[in-house]
Amino acid sequence: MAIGLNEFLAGMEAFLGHPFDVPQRQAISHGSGPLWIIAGPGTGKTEVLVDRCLKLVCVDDVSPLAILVTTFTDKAAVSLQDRLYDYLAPLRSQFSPRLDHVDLADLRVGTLHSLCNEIMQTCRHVPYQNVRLLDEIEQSLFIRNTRATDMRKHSNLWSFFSYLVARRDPAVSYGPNLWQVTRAAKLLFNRIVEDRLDLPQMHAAGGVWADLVHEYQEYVQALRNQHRCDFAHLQAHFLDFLQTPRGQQFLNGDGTIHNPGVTHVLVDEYQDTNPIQEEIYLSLADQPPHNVTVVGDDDQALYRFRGGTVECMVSFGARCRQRWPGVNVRTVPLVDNHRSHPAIVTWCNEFVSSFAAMRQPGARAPGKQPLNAASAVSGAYPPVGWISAQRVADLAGEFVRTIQGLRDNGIIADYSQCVLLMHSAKETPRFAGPYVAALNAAGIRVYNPRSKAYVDREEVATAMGALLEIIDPGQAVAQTIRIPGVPRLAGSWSHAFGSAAQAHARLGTYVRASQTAISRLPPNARITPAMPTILYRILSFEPFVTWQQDPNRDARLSKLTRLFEAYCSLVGRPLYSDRQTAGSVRQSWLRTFYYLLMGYLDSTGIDDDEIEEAICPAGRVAIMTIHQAKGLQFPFVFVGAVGISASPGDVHQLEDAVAQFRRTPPTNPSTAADRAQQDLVRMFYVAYARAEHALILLATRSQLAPPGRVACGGQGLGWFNQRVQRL
Amino acid sequence: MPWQHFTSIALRPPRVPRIKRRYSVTSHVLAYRRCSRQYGFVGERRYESALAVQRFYGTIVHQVLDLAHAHFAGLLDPSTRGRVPTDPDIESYFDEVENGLRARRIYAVGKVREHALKVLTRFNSLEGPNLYPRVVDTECRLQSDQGRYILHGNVDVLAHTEEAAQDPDAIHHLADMELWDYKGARKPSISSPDFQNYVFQMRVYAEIYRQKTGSLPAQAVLYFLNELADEPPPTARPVNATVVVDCGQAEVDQAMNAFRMTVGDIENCRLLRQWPDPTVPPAEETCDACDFRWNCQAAVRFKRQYPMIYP
Repeated sequence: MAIGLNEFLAGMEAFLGHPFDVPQRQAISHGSGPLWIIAGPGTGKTEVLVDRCLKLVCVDDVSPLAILVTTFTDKAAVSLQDRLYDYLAPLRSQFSPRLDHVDLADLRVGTLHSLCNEIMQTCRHVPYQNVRLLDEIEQSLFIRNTRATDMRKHSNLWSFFSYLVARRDPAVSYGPNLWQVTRAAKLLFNRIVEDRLDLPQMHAAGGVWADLVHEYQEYVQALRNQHRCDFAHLQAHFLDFLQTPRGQQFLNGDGTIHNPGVTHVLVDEYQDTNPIQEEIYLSLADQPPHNVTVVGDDDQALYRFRGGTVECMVSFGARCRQRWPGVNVRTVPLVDNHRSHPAIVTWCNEFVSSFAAMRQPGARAPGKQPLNAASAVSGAYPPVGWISAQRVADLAGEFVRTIQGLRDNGIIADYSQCVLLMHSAKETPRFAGPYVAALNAAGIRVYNPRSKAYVDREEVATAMGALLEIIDPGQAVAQTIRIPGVPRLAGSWSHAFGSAAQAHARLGTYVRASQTAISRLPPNARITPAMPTILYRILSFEPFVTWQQDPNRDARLSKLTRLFEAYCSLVGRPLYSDRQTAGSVRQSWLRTFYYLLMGYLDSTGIDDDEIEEAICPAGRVAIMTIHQAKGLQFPFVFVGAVGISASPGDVHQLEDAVAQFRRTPPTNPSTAADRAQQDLVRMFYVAYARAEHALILLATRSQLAPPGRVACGGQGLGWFNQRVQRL
Repeated sequence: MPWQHFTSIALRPPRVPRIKRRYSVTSHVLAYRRCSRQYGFVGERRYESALAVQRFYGTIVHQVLDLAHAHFAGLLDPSTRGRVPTDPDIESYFDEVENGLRARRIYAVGKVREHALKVLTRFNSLEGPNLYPRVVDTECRLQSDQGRYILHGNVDVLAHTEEAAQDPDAIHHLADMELWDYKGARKPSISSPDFQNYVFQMRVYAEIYRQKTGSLPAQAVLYFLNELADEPPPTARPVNATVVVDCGQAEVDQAMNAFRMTVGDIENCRLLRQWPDPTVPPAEETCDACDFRWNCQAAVRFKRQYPMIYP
């Protein structure tokens, strides 16, 4: 027994403490058929998605099992799910017993990847049984281990795709190295799948395209042979699954309460959808009346580098009408910004529309309206400001003094109410390095999980140093590795271990005794059935036991065990002594370890895991990438490292190159240069729109003054100075 | 100073978000009860086990039986619908699953492979003809909102009772269902913690089933597959192979209270970030395979010796 729509809306408004605005009410109340919600930042798009989902369950009596809700990250999915439960609880109390039967546990909420994986596992899609799903690190290791050596020989391929393997070190005269090939191959393979490129047509084109098809097919075969699947192929598997009898049963149900089929699909952050994801969503909604709701903002599309194309959002209506002739696609724009101070809203509107590239056809959703300030945040202070200094180090100092002032004077209650956003959060001089140094010097704790500094952290370096001392005493093999960063990294780890062993004698004793034990082994003897067992024995000594009491250090050591598991799943778990030489670890194993695992760490680096419980731990200042901050909001937003101009990157060039093979032709006619600028504008737009009370740019004059700097708007520094107050 | 522009603002402390967690009977509650210290490392802090080989037996047994059910239901190939798999069919499914595991570097150790295959072919021929036609669903995901958290579990088999299977309208009789759970072990002594945990698990599953359908299942069956391993091969179900768990409302309520208490303990440990040593000795095989035994004070207290291995 359900409740009426008006009862539902009134109940939700009472719980939320404010009425829905008219477009929000329209979106939540929508009946059947495709719904296209174009929602700017702070307009409550996720709120509307949650309310619409509850409306389906509470008013329309749709079984939660019949609803799929997707969003962009696992963390966003958890947050969305929590919000659903939070909102349902008061409704159930108010409308008991009519809503007593509603149980959201069966609702499928997750990223599209996680849902595809879960559904195929639950339905036992045979080609997907016992498949190991490769994350980004594992996919790189897999390509490097199985395909990179062969692929590097294709000089024609790398001449054609030279922009994908551009050498960063001018001193290196030979062709792309294996890690460059790996990175390029990963981009190409993922693009083939995510853009749903027409392989027969590519093959027929001959030349490098035929070579690429061949290499791709070899990669697919390697995945199949080794029962692995990457994230892109996970989606391809799912599309295949939907065509199978089990897939049809999943889609259409079997008439029992256990399986009502899929009747509603709700998609958050649709602006970052790629063509294969678009095909999945539309396939899920193929049954009339095509209940697919998409929510997104074309101005906040950030993930072109992962195959996302804003076209799916901009062209959603056209795509639906093309696929389902005669269907009525309801469009609801949400423009009331409930997040930010009115002056921040004005700045965001003016910023995004100040660029000619954003006015080109296909850049924004048709008839895109500016945001309307509707937040309770107000006050006669400068909500959009600029802190300037001669040097970045001075800027960092000023930043620290500012947040200290905010905290010490009761303006903010906790440092976590401030965030520093940057294009990259690497702790290098160009990005977060000076800010982290200044914060550390002031004794302010930093939360920066995407610093790419994982391998340099004391606990990681010490554990790895101890391990290397055991398996490669004196780094005899490490020093012969021809990737310059690897011996360097091994050296720094060894140094970290040396320091720890001086203070913690038992750790040093264990390492020396282990060296001795290996030195006494005959050739070809098994040292351990699983190499990670050595790591666990190392972790049983101090200082690791104490370090494990610290949640951050503990999380990094835990991650190290997962990294080793992933590596061992690729190369094998046992460790043997050398085939010919007694008393040492097998040389080929060591070389593989250095070139593969450490080569990856050196070439790509890895991040810490983000904490699950909160956006930023209390008492810390968050430093985040702008991508990481998508969907979040903070009272005080600082934006740094703003000296960037747009130039087409490898992804833009690749898009142009493969456009001829797309099954759904691109609809954005902009050039690569224009698309690059659109992307950068969107990135800063996302950064600026996170701010609730104040948005503060941290910039030296030289970062903003040169023509073409996007952060200060499309009309140059003079235009910027008229709108943004120097603080 | 820039901050002086903002003195009109006075923000309240940020709200601490509340996460609604999922708790499973096996991965959380039973794992915590087995060893709270090990659970803290693996279940909460996500340390990855060094020895994936332990997964071989349980994984292959469950997956091959699942394929056998799918074979009978015609879900793999419509032409096999209604036919119990032959021994070669089971071997073929076994190979298929084993290849997948091998590709993931999960191997059988010693005679585990032969043992698993023997048990599976015997189960198939002994139980298949009667069980497979009654199966409604396999690897059935059951979950239910408990207010503070979501409770979930995977039931190996959901089947009509033998009586209901004769009734063409049985699909509508949600109370005429059996829950089956396969255990890759011999039947333990009924006083052992393992046995008590298995019974507890079935009672919690029964309650989730009741919350989803309004009725408790007709019965819950534990099947101890290793009871089929004796020679000569059994021609009828061995007495110790199955245990029917009493799932009356009182027993189920008691199990749910225990479940809630353990969840409370887990949440308390998480809050304190402390995962204490177990107070009751875990099974020896749990400690023998534990990655964290090298500096475990509880193991010392329980007089389990794990001298350091080099390396």
